[in-house]
Amino acid sequence: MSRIPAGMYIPGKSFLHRLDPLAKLIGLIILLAAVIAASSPGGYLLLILFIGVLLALSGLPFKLAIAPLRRTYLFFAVIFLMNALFFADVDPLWTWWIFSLSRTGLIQGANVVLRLAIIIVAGHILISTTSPMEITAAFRRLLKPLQYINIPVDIVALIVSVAIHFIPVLAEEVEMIRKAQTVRGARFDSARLRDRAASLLPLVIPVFVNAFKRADELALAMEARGYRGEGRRVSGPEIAFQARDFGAVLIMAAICAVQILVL
Amino acid sequence: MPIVLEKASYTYAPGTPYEAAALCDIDLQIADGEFIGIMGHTGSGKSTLLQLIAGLITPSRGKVMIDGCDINARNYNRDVLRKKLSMIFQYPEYQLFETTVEKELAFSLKHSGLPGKEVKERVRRALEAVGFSYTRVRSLSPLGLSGGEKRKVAIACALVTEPKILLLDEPVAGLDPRGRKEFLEIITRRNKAGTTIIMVSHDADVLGNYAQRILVLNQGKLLLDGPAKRVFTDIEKLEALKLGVCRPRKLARRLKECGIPFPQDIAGYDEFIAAVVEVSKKGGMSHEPDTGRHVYSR
Amino acid sequence: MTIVKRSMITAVCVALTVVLPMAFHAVPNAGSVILPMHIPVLLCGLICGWPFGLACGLIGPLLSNLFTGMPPMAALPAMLVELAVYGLMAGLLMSCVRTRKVYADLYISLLVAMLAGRIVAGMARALIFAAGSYSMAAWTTSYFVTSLPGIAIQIVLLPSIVFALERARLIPARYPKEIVLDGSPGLDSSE
Repeated sequence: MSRIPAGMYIPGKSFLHRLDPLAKLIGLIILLAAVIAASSPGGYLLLILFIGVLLALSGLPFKLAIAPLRRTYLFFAVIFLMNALFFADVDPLWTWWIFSLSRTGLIQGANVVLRLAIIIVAGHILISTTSPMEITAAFRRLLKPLQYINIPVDIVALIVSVAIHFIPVLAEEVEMIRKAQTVRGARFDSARLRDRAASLLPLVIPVFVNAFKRADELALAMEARGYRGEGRRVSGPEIAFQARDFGAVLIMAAICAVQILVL
Repeated sequence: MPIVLEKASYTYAPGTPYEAAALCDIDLQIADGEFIGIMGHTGSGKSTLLQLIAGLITPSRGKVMIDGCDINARNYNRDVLRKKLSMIFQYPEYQLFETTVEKELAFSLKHSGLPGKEVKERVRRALEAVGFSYTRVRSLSPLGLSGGEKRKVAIACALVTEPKILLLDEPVAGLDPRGRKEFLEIITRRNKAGTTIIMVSHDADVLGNYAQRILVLNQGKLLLDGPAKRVFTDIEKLEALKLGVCRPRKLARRLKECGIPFPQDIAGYDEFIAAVVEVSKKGGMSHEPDTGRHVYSR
Repeated sequence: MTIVKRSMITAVCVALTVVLPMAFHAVPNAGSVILPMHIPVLLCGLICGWPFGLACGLIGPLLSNLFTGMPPMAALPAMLVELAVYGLMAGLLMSCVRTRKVYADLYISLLVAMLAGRIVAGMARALIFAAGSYSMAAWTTSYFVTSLPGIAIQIVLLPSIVFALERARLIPARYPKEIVLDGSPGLDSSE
């Protein structure tokens, strides 16, 4: 219960694991562009092949990488059907009441579903090969240039790192409070919604009060050490890319270019 | 036998990479009105044991029986358990949430089926048991009270159901000496009135002075189980486990090292003083001028 | 409140957007009905102001997806928009609406923020995320019908939390009453 939740990160030594997290993040963003630009069967084939390569490079078992898709079957089905059956087209294949099945609708539905599926799997591969700490560090590096247009990147980074630090602490505290209130008679798993809703107040209020208390103490400690919240000017972007990181990003860009221009 | 554990075991997160056995094959019987102390390292399973008895977690193996009923059986009504048993967690003031002290205490009686008048009466009794004046405190906001007052309210919450069994997990953590004394006096009064007390504590002095029986847990197993005097006699074993030993016992050992035939089955101050009286009756002490040592001699 | 304190409160609220859904999923059916992720974000906006509310609404779901996989990737963009608007609007409204009654301020800010968030998220879904397949019917169902109990619960819960925090002196009172010093007797039973 008091383990730090590491999401879906699975430690490993594959090529993808060893890539600089920022490179992976940039790669994912470029992939996003490539996916949105995909519109032909060739385009999708390229993307699917690429995902296959990614999967091989990540050392993840196939089943695990496909896992997020299993949860979204229903969602995909709904989207597909909504597109297929409601797309207003000049030349429907079949109509009945408010439904109009059209070829364009079917293609549209397939497009949306395929794109979502690819992005979801790619994102999942990224998350499985990059620990949450690395991902947030990569985000911070990515957003660093924003400080030049007055967005307080440093404060955001502080918020993120403190939040991550608090997650296991608060998770354990929620559990303790739940137990304490259960002994007092709160019914969290009663069949009646009314009972469960009434049990929310004794759970949620102490959780927030105690969480805010910790925030208060932490803020006090920081201010006592002289921290006032000014962001620091950072000297320059940290680039610690190695050859393979540049290579990865370049390949990604190349695929995207091919996607947009050719396919 | 009100509390019986038969080969109770508990494993955290079974089947995952984080699997960890917290308790193994615990056999335990606790009679009405006992005052039990539980000692052990962090991770030895003390809190897990308390939570098993409180019915907060289900044993992976074995049974937990209270008043002859298996509390994890499908047809067991948990409300019955909630009426009989209260638990005070570490830093219990964290559980306060209501707008007034009276409502806070009444929450514990919500599902008791008692009429309003009786609820009020119990709230009054519980508040007075912790030293508050009912009329002055009842409409105050529990969250706005001082730390010590909050803790008293939290303790009153546990007492308001007038439980037969009271479980305490490090209850004196963070209390100043006076607060500790007041708290332990409340607990002792309850025990004398017939409530079974089971207290987990790191503080060997507290356990030595108040508990009649001590359980020592180590790595999920029940290592020692016996009267406080007997458990503390084996001081080497406790120290080998790096557990605390009560001061009277340590003093007794020191006296023995000085050559005085002092009894070694000492747990609390009362026993220590009684032993001192006994021993000094049997012979006198003299002072060796050249070595400066006090020597006991008949 | 200083920036440092607001930042720490935001951090804690972000952590709670990750932790609360985990806790609620232990209770059957609570997650989709009670919408636990909305609570810390709205609270953050109400208490710390719009920049922090916005930050909480953006960072929270992202971290939650990273750590627990909820909300799933597919639902994430719409949730981000929705929660960001919640935090933003809750903060904006609390700074504009001053009725001299904390309850009223809170209710107004909450209702407007919740409505605004749903409208903007609905538009985002219709135009960007699920273009072509999103309809009024889908919007009303997913954002209002199924979550009606959740909305009701939040409207009850959030002011209670704010009041509890004020009483615990963890956040400054919105409309401070004058403190009256009188020789009030102590609390214990001894006279």
